Amino acid sequence: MWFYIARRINLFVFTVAVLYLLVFLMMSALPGDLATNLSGVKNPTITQTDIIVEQYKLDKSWINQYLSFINQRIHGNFGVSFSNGSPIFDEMLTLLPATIELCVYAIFIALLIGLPLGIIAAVYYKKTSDSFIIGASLVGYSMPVFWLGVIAIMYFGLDLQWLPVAGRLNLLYQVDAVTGFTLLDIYLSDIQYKNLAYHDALAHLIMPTLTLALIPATVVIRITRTSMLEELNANYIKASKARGVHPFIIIFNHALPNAIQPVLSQISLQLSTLLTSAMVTEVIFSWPGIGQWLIQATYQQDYPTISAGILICAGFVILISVATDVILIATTPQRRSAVHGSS
Amino acid sequence: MLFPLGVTLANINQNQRIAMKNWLNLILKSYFFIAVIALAGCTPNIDNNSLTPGIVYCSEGDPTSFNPQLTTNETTTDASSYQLYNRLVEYSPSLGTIVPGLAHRWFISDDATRYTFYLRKNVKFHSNDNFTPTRDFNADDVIFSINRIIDSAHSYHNISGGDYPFFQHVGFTDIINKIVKVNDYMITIHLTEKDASFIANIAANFMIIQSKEYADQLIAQDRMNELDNVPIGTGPFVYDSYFHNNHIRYKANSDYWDGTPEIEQLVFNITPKSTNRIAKLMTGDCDVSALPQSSEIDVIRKNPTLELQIQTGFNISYLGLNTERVPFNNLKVRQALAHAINKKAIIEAVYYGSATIADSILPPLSWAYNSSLKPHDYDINRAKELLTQAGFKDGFTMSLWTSPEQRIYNPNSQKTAELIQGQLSLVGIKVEIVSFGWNIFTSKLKDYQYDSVLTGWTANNDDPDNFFRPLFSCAALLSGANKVNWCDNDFDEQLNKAIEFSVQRKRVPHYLKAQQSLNQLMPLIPIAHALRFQVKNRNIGGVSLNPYGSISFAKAYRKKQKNKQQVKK
Repeated sequence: MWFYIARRINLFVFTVAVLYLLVFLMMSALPGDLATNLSGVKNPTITQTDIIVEQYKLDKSWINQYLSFINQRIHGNFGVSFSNGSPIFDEMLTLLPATIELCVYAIFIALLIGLPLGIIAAVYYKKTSDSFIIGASLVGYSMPVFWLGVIAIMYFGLDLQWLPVAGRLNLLYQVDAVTGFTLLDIYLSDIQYKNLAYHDALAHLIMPTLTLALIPATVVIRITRTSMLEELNANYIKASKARGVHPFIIIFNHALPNAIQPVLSQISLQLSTLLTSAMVTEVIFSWPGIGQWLIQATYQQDYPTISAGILICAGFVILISVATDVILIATTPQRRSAVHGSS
Repeated sequence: MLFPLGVTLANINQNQRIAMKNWLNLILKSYFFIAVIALAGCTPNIDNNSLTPGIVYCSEGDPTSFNPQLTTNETTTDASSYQLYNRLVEYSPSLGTIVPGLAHRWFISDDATRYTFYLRKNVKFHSNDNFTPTRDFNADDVIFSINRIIDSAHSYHNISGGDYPFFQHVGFTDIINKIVKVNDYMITIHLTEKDASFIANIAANFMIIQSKEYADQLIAQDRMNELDNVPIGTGPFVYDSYFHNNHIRYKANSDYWDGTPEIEQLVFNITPKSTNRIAKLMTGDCDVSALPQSSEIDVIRKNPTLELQIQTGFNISYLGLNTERVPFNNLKVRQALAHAINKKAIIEAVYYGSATIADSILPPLSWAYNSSLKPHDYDINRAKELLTQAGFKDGFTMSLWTSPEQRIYNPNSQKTAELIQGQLSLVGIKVEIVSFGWNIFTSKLKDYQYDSVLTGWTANNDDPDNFFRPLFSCAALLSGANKVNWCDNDFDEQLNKAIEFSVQRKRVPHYLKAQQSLNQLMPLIPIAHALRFQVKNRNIGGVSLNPYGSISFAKAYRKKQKNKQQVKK
């Protein structure tokens, strides 16, 4: 077990190192001065240049440069943004919670919708409801996020005027960003109309979250269905049935705990897709998260910001997949036989 | 959910696994329960913000600072001029005259070179975490605010760049001889010569009064940059916070000399995309929105909760001809172009009808407008005839410079340029369109390397001088603002004569003549006066549209009665 965890951590470190190497090579290949690209300081003064050269060891060999690049980034120095000159790391800290908030709620909603539907589909295997759920999930899976978001805005926002279409909260509620998570911030703030603020924040959340949740939800439905089917056909289920155990108990006590593991591992694999869709969703719904920020940076050719975005987003995905891997192994002993992590 | 499972890392035996399964079981059951409740209870409900006494304004961009003296950028003046500050005298759009501001009375001497202002007493400056005013507004603040602009040795002159574009245009430094403090509540400004447009310039959005006491404190703290970025003024709202690219928050100034605003807070929701602004307005995230695009006007008109405010703008969009270059040094060619351009088609295609055809450089609303000008009607045959007379029977090739960015006077210059290109090709003139981003465009124009240029002008006050002098005087040739590269001494003389009188009636004939000579000599072809638009929710009152730009929320309020009914619905 410990050996397995060590191997995973090893894998994590090397993947991140390769990621940093790629980003570093990209930075050197980009037009412009490497010092400017790495630090984000445009037209630096002589003292600034000296500091940058010292920080990134630009007078040494490229391996030294690469190592000090990693060193700077790990210590939170991501340079400053080309467009407004503010430290990228601070900016990211204010934006990341918005994205995480959106993703967490989306995963929650995906499980909320996906698990029950997947179970229903498996229990009523090859019945009408199964075909209906599977058909609907296929339609949902094929729906592009950007299209769905725009249609939702058109219909629920502009036609019916049920839901707000942009931002996280009506700005009349003065909620200071303490944690960056709107609902928590409202709880921590001392504004007058808290209930209204909660209401407003939730109204702002509904459309982006549902849009983002759609694809993971369909994936959850399909995986849940498959693995539930497998379990329901297992001999121990048949034995329970024969003993006359209540079907509800069979499904929830016996089959589901075994069937849920592949679903959870699938969710972690979905994370990179989720982050990509989150960026699109953020742009559509003017959600002030990391996706919108990165796309703006791409427009403005803000290289330090783009590279920081790559490092953080890719690093985040790697970290989460390694972490879920370890947790899954810890909770599923039969997987541990694959010591070398071939899957 | 996953974290407690990790506890089982160390060693797992059968019993624990069973315990774990029961635990998972419990989670899943309660989870199902929540799922049912949550899905059933998911009835969307929009909140009308009826209980939060404030107004959200969807603005189009980030202000460059909070001091309008430093810019002619309308986004900046919107965010500061009438929200945070006051002027000595104010221009009232409804009355069309100058009304008292921080000066409750003023006198102009008989020779029109001395302006005496009697200042209002008991006017309080804002306070913030760093600054609490110890005295009321007085003459020192006025002298500080004007001197900062005109005195290049002033300690604040070069803070924030040292550029005061509006004041450079109107020649403030040359026109003001000295400012004399008579007592704490009375000042006299001595001019070097007569200038009838001076009082209009004092009332302009840009001539705001800042606190000298605050400025002095910032010098002592060595935080001089904050004067323009953490603003202190006397206006109806107090600056609260600004988040770049996100929002600006203001709180009502409870000590405001002209009555505390009815709304408790004002928020500028910075939304660069026009469609997003309209969407936010429709869903209630904004109450008032800036600059809707002409193409969106129909959608807004159809929506019963929105109200579109329209105002003839004091602006002009024109095609300037470089009168020093061949073939535009030939009057006949310039006239031919005027006949060859179909202004009506441009107004329909580019402005979607939200503009009026321009015959003169002055909009018809102006008191100096010359209604007897002979318009150059759209007439291709006449244009061809004139071209033949000028010796360009087979046409010629010309360059047309423009900038693709949206301006108040022209929502889509690129499209306008393309239409002109098509229209001129009918008379045999081949047009090459050259376009640059706005900043590069304005800097490149100074070299006069173009044949023609599609640009425009937005007036800062109702004085007609504001249209002529910055654009067509010989002096403007030096500063590069004279885009038509044109200097006519008779024309200049008319302008100079006009500002010698302070009585409107006496000035009018000179402006009529000036317009007449522009119409005859055609250094430019006026195209359109764009209408100004603003959209607001019908629940909001007291926000009027100012023809010279800069929105004011001082008198804004939310109609309460109507709102309660809506909530009940």
